Amino acid sequence: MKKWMIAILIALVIVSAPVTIIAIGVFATMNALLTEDPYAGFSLSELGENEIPSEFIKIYQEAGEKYGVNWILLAAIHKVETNFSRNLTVSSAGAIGHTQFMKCTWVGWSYPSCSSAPKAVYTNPEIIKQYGGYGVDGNNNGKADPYEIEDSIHATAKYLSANMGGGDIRQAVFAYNHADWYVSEVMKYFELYSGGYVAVDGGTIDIRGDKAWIVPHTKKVTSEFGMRTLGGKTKMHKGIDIAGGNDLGKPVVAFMDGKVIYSQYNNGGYGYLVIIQHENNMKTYYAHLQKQGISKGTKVRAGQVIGYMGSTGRSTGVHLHFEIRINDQPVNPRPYLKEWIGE
Amino acid sequence: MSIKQLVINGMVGLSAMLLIIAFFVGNKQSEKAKSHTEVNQEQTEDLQDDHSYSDNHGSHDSTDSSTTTDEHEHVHEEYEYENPEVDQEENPPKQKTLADYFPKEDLEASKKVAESFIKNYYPFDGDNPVQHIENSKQYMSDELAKKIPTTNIRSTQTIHKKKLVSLEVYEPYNISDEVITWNVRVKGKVFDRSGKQTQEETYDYALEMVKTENGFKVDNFTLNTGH
Repeated sequence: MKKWMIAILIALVIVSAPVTIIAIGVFATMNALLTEDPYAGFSLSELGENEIPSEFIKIYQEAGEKYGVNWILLAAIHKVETNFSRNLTVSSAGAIGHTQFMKCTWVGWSYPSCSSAPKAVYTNPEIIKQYGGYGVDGNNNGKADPYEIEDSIHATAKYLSANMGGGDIRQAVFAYNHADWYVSEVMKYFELYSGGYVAVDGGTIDIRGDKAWIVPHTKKVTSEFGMRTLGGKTKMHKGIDIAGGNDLGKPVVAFMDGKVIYSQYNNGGYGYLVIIQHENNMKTYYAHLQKQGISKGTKVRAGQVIGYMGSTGRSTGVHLHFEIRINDQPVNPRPYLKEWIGE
Repeated sequence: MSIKQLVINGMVGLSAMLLIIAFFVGNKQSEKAKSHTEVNQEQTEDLQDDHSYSDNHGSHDSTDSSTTTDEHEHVHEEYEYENPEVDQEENPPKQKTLADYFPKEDLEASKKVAESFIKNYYPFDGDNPVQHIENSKQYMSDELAKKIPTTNIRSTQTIHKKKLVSLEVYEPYNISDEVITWNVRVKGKVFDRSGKQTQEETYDYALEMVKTENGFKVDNFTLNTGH
């Protein structure tokens, strides 16, 4: 080979190598940034800030990050299991610790007589590793103890992560406890504590007392009651808009018990509209539904599905426009919904 | 292949690679921007205190295309907007009901089974966490009885027992003409591990029924999912 050719080849390698490395680096970084993160946009809701004890948050976050689990889900499980460690007695099934692990799950089901393993055994990280348990030494003190909060939360995150095939949160929670009410409770708190969460399915119907949250799959308010400016014009918006993304066809439920007094296509801009008459001269309006809502004359219960989200009428995107009228005068719905979305 | 050709091919290959990378990165950014725009579009221009509205008389679709934008706006009397009920039709279209699709006797029989099923299924006792499943199996189809889990069910410290207070079976909004479906609204009391009542709860079950040679059975059900 001629020397000049070798020189060109070396020069080419020298020039192209950094370019290639940079290009690959940029590509990988952009790909990581732009690939849809199932937890992107999640934040702690106002209710979550009020209810979740602050001393636990860092532990949830560290465990969540380590095992790829949303930390608010860990908080929801901690809430349902022991009410944030306020009750740590052994359950009737023998579950122990801050997030109520069965000893066998903690140390590994293949450990002989795992359910009666002594503490020195089931807190030993080496034995846990040997028998495939989920116990974790989260605070690095040489013991994996379900009565130590860091260990317990890390173990919960590890267990959820191992059972979250395809990012299915409900499936992972169900694996933790095979009871439908358990999944419903955990998902309820998860959705309450999470700002910006949009359930892939229809979400969890949440009925509190005589009221229900009206769009189960999201609590994202995109436009508030009051004066707002659009297209250079300032006008009164008589309700609130709710949309989380991927909303088309998702259920809308009644806010309170009542009777449907209007259900048809409205020519005044509301599109398919359902109006429910409640007690105390209160009416609720559910506008832009995808299709004809529940029939006029139906007596409905709080939390009952009355229609599906759409964009009919004077609307440019799928959302629910929700109004509350007292004595036929529109009022701000937010105070009535404060249990779910804050004041 | 000569060295010169190798060098040229290498350079062409490098260029192609950079082009492909640029394409993918650009495409990703474009998708991201599109998604962002879609969310923003959900901020609507609807239902403001505006005298204009769209004239859709007789022209609206039976279902939403989700991209509808009104093209024919004109000034209208404010009262109609303020009081949307004024355009109320005397006989607005009614949703189909189960009675349109199924015989009365089937509806009555299946409704009783739905009620019995939930009466037995809802109560929960942490000291015997599968008792409610065993009690309600007689109302389940064979398929449901096989797939419903009876292991790894346990109470928590906050939810140890549930007692039924009342239930009501009602017809759901989204019925099918193929399967009888019922919703069951349950009110219950929840007790923690110490026996203290911690809350009263309201649950909504959605049941799918199937007719078997032994009468109607529950073939599938979900809890609080909006079905």
